[in-house]
Amino acid sequence: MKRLLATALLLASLVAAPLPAQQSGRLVIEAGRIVTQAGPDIENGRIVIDGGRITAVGKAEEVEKPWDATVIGGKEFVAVPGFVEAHTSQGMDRANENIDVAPFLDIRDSIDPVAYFFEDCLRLGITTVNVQQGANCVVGGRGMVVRPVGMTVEEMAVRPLFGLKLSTRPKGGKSRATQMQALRFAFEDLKLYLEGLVEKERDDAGYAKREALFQGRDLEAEAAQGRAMSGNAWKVDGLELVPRGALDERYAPLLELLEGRYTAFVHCGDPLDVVHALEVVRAQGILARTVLVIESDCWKAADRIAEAGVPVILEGGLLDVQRDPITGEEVETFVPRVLQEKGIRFALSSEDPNTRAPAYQAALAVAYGMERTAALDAVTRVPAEILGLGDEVGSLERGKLGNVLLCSGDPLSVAGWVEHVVIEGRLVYERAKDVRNKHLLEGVQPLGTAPPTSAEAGEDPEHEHEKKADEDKGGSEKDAGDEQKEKEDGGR
Amino acid sequence: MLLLLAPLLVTPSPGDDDWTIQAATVHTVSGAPIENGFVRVQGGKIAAVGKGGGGATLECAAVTPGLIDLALGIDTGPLSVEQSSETAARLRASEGLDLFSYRWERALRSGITTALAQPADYDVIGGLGLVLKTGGAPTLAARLVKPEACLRGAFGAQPSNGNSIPRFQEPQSFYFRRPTTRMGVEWVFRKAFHDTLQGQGEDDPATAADHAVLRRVLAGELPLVVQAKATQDVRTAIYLKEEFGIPRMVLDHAIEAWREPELLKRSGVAVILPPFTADGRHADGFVNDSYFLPLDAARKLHEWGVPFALSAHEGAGAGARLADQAAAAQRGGLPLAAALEAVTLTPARLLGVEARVGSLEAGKDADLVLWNGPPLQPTSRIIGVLLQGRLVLDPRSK
Amino acid sequence: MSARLFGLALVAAPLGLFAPRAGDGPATPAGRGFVAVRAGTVHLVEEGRVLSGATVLVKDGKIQAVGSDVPLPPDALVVDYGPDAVIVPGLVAAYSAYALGFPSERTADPTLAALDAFDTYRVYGDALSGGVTSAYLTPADNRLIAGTGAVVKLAGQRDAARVLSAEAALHGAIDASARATPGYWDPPIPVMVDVELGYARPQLPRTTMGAIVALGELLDLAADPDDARLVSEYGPRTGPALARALAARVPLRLSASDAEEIRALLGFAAERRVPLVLDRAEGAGPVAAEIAAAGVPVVYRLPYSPNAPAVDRGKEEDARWPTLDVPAQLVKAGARVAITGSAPRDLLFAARLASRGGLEPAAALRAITLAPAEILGVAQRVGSLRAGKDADLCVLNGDPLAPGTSVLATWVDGEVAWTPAQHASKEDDGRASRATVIEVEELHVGDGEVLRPGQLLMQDGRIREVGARVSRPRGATVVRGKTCMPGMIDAFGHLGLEGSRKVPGTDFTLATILDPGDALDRRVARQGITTVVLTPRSASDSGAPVAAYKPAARELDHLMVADPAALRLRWDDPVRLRSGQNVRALLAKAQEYRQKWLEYEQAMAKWVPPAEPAAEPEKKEDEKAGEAKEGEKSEGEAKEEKKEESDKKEDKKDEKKDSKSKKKKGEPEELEPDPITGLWQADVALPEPAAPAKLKLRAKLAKAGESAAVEGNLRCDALSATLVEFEGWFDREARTLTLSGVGSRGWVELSGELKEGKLAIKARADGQEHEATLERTSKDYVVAGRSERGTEKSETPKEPKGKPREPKRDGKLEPLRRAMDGTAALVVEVERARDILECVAACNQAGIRPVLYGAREAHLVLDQIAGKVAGVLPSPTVVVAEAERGTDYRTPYAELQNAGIRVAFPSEAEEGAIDLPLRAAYAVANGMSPEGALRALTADAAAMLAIDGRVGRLAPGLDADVLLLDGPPLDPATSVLRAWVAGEEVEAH
Repeated sequence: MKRLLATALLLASLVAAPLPAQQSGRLVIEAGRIVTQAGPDIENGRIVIDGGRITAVGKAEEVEKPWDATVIGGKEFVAVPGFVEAHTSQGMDRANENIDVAPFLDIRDSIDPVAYFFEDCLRLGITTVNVQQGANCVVGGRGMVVRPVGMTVEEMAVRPLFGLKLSTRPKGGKSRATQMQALRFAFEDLKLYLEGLVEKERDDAGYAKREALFQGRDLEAEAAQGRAMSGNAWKVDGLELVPRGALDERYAPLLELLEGRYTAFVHCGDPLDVVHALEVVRAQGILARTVLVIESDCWKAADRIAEAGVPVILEGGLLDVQRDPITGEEVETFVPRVLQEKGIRFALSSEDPNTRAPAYQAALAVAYGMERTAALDAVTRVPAEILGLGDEVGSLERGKLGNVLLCSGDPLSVAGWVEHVVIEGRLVYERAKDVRNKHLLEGVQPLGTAPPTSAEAGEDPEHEHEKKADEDKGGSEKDAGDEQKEKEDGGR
Repeated sequence: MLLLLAPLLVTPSPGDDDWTIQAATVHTVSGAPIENGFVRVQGGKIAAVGKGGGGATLECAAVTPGLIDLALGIDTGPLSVEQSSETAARLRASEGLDLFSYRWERALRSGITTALAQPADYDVIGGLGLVLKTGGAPTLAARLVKPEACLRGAFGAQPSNGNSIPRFQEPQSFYFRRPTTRMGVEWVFRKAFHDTLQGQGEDDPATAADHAVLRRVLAGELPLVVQAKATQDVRTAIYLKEEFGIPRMVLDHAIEAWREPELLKRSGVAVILPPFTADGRHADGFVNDSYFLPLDAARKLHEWGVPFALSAHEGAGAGARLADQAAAAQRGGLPLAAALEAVTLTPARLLGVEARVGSLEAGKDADLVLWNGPPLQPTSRIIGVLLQGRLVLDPRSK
Repeated sequence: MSARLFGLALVAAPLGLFAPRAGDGPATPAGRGFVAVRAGTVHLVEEGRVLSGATVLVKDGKIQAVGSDVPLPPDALVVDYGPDAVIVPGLVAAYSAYALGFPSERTADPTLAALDAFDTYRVYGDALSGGVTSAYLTPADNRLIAGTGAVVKLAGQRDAARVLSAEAALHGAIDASARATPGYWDPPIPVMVDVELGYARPQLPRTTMGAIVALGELLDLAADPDDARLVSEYGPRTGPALARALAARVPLRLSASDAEEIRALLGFAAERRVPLVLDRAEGAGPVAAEIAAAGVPVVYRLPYSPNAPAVDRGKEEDARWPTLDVPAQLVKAGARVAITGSAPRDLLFAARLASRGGLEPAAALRAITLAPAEILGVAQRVGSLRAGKDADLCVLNGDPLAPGTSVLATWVDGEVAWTPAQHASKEDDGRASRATVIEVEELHVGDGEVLRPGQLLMQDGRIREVGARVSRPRGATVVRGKTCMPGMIDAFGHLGLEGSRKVPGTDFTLATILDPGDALDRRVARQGITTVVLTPRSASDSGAPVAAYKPAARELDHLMVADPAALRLRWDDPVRLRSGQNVRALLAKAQEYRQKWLEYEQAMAKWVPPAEPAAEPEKKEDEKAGEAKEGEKSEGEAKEEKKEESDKKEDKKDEKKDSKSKKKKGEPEELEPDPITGLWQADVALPEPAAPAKLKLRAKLAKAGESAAVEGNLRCDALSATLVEFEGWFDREARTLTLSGVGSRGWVELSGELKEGKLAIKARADGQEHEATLERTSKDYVVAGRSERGTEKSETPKEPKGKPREPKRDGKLEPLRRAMDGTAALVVEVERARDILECVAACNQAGIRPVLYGAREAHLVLDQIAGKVAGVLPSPTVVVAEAERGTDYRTPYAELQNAGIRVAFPSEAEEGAIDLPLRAAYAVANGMSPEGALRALTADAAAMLAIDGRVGRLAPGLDADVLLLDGPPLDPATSVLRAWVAGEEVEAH
């Protein structure tokens, strides 16, 4: 509790108290170099953001500066589009329900706006996050795309009710066969249920009409509006007779998935899961709106993925290490390169806290021989497109949202820190004011426990005592943090 | 698409062990980096290092000495621990070493060519560590660099953990006891050295053997490598160093050493840093506590002039490669040169094997690491490794 | 030649398939045009046809033509495996666990599809390495209907073409495994928005009849999927799914073990007219005819798993030990049979075993190719070589059913899917001496030497002569046969422990807990295991004793071969740094100890006895001499004779002492059985004409005043030809003993009465009465000349002055001392390579060549230990697959032997020892030389355990433990016809 409060205050210090300039909603960002991810980099350029959107990007001399705009940045900075986290199961109190099929769940009820995770997102330069339920399910709940700022879920929301989680990787306590069984049954059940409804509706059509009348609805119009079941794979005739209100909320989301309302994020633990995933989404006719969330091993199924033309989010490590069963040698495979060679659109999104920094992953990709731009695309453009935000975020172009990072030097280098984060024209993060970051970097002590001076360093038992006490406090506080992390990691 | 790694034991064909490596930058560590220089290797040793040069058999962006990890963690695990007494200075880690573990191969591939193997930290004084190569024929003889390189000790929670009854076995006797608190650990440590100085209980050959080792430590022949994670452990270690006048002490896994600048400077201990974590926390599995390691710890030590080495601890995991640690340290503000030294020459010095490894100088072992870009940067990786002149990771295989 | 080279090149290509790769199948030239695969022999299996020098012409993964004179297209690529190679159709495994997953909680769940768990990205190298190209996937086990099984190809492209049949069978069971169904269907807890509170329902089956009822109900449900009751019983989805499957004529494949279950199923299938396939069918023998009549095909699963530790099958007289003749019977009766092994890769071996049961080769081969293909309904694509079928070939280096034949290459869809990886007594006791001569075509001496023809003469329990022609004593029985070999040695077994898990001290005399030749022992011996190296199931830190004995010996005297035969120590210590410390310590002690003795002996040599010379010392001395000189028979015998005499003396002394002491201690003690073993054992002198007999009693200790239950046995030819096993009780009040047991000639009754420490015994058998008195004697047997321990003690007090004091005997160190003299073995449990090296070094340094037990990593240090160890007892796992080496299976037994290191087969079981020859055969099937395997079972085992002075070979002077076989040894098709132990034939009870 104490910690939460602390964080709340901390976060408040980051996002609250908007700069006066932001009333005018005009912000000018200047940088020695602008990495637009939409064409060549711009040496010492200028970005103008008005009303949250980019109105101009270009060389400083070409873009004129509105008189009333606030100016941030400077020659020493490199401007980069805000990174996009294409898929994560963090930032929730817990990642998984223990129900096999639970499309009726909604991430929004679970998102914790003050979770460290979102704070870290800013630190790492992630400005758009797609939060989805964990993979330990058969059919999971609906997720949402958020910006990592705001004290309430509403403030954070970018796309509420976005995407629905499926998993072909056997859930805990399930074998491959039983997982697939459950997945198929989920859709069969839906069909049976809908047919049942229509039956019932036909039996007392009159009642339905009266009901509709009473509700002031126009059934034909509804049907025309395509409210009826319009899945590509299979239909249920006469569903338009059923008022949507009558649909059991347990099934509604699944129906909407089939109707293409949601993107399906299908989690695949290994290549066979990929095959199964594609089989299922094809059978349900939602291939077009499918994204595979894959572990490293899945590169073996790259051909299938390429053939299906679905984009993937690489959640596992970028490097897949395994033994050749014949020679006994260890074989390292750099997964992004495989995906690239097969022409698969992929986004990077590590779940390992030590390697999840988008910049680090891009750097790793470069180390293994990928083009800089391509590497950065995998954490900006591509995830944006996957989330259907292609023309909103992911690059620095006129008309897109003003999500900009100002880095001290090349973001892929060890020296490159995210100094400022601008989200939709609002300066939401300044490293200079980031106490926790300072703590992480320099180990600033909790209040009242300054490092001992040479005088104190002696063997003064008195001092030893209070020192120890303080540290224990510090320790326990950190533990609270650990538990928090565990919660987030839980069951993923 | 996939790079097949050359098997570790390439059968040497004639000329197999003779190379001339041309690199945009040759980081000798001992001296200033040489722009487009070369390293010539003959018969497993470095024949020459210089500028220009021709007839290269291998080319790459940068060459550095083979990396050295003083906390590789490839030992026989907790089972390699003598349980019958908490001071077992006479024991040798070599006895329990598993040379057939695949993790040596991984370490080698991640650029680590020399490593320190020690007993795990369940005893206060755990035994003698040895320095050995991470590759070559799987025999001690073939890999050994220095048989008795250091004495291993440990402070804090680990050696005093779970001692209510001894691990892995029934208590031998009603009187079986081992320290169960930090104080107890300190007491055992102090007693060992005290008895050594007094020559007490040496009629028991085991004790005598222990004391013989401890004397070598006191004489400065052997460095004493002690695990000291938390601040209070760091202090305890340093106080004891000063109390008994232990000449060479290295604090291993010294997560919170950075909190004690004065003590470090005053006592002249060296430090081995554990890997950096995303949130700076290092949970201590043995007590419900976690210690904090800031990203700039290395920089601090560097500025204070405290000799330190970086380590990957359990470096087998892809996540915690030694090179990544060096990169992280730089992110914390450590200059490249210092980072490089902290994974090559410094560790070599700490264990007194700098005559053979740690830098690129004529006459030293030809342990080289070849990079596809500036070394120890996240945007570049290790593409080749030579171990004693033998190509164990081939930069040409793509 | 060039063609052959090309062939190899082609063979090399597909190995890429094993390396993980994004691309699908390998790119062999086969895809492009015609490929002609040649071999000396080609089994078409189609109506049993066999072609010699034939060609299989392949294009686009299909067989275009097969024949001796197939016209080759000009561009055809020829792969010639040479004249010795044999091509058979890719084998079809009718059982595999590749898709085995959790069963549903329902008793019947046809919607669980095995195909879902078929991982096309997995490399099925294990099966391919055994020539298996297609396999049936079992969805799950332990349910009445566990799910739907499928049939798939184990290599090839990763697409639908690999699925031969998506719904091959409704897989289930009615035997014991089905009864593993949870008794109640548990509604999901906790109850949630989407799960209403269900209530528990009982589920069938618990019995066979229950199973049949349930099956019936399921069919009803299929007929009427809306039957409310059944729906609630078996779940909403079961009915429709079943209906669909049955409509598609998908057979029910149900495993039934014994005849009753099979009958029940047959009846059911006939009544309900459902297609049925019998699975497992272990006990189908008796009902073969009915099965055939019903036209129900059988998937017979071999009840052995030779690659796992042996299984104890049950000790009761009527325990069903599995037999191998079931498939043969079924085929004879005219039923369709597919044979499967425990693992797909052992299919060929399974067929060989079946052929041992009498199945003729053609049928055996068919049972692992075409028959399963037909039964699984995929015969149109696989199972035989015929134009139009898939080009799945299994190329062998010899006859499919010959032992040791192995796979050269496995082809799937016209491409090479797998090739071998590129990578190693005592004297006559007065009974009428029986001489037996055995004449055979092949006499295997055991050490590799083979006499063709060979003859052997045994007499007085010993082998007298071996050669091409031996003398014929008058009245000698002559046995003619095909092959004979030495009795086999279970190099590390537990037979005789009778389940005991006790860990006795290393100085404990195992002999004292052993009974000679009871029914079980004989049963084992008749399967060929005549000597068992007995060791407790586990060892304490200080080790455990090891004794060698012959379970089936009729004579107490023949019973023990050596006790202790060896000392068993453990090198590995959970605390690695301490590994070997105890061994090192012990060795050090032992060396001191031995030193003491050597000094003592030298002293003795010098010492001149005073006036009345004691016979003892000299004996002791050249005894030692005898022991020191290893293996020299004459010496050994001399020694034993002398000892014998001494023993007799000792016994007398013993008795005297006893009777003396009797006076002091009150009577009751006298018949207190030995506190450790609870044993009486003694000579009973029965009056002529009866030959002397041996009575052995074991009493359960009981509080004074109660009657003690007594059991025991009597060996007395006058009363019974077989060992008489007694039961009875000892009344402490009346001090009388009453025993009775069945002998070969009916009841034998013993009644005894205790009078001043002597037990007067009356034996009544077939009318006659015999009387005898019994005195308690030392607990030590008077056998194998190992009674020193008892006697030495009794003797030490009355030593003349000046005689050097004999060092105290230390039962714990004695074995080690003997090991140093080379008259006993030291068995050390050690696993890791480093430890092995250190252990061997330590032992050698102490002058001992140890026997390594376990030695998991021995293969890493073969040449370092070669010549430094007496031998190795590898773990019972014959074939080891290592993660590092994937489908490259190692056979440690072979590796060690090739490195010149002796190996032997440990059973680590009791009567399970009978599986040893099977395991040896398995080792041969996996690369061990047959001759080597034979050695391992006989001569080598004996040599490494230092009992080669008694057993292990067919050589003059050794004990006459002889087996008569009906074929070459270790051929799975061979079985033991007759067995002799110490010259006595082992008869059934």
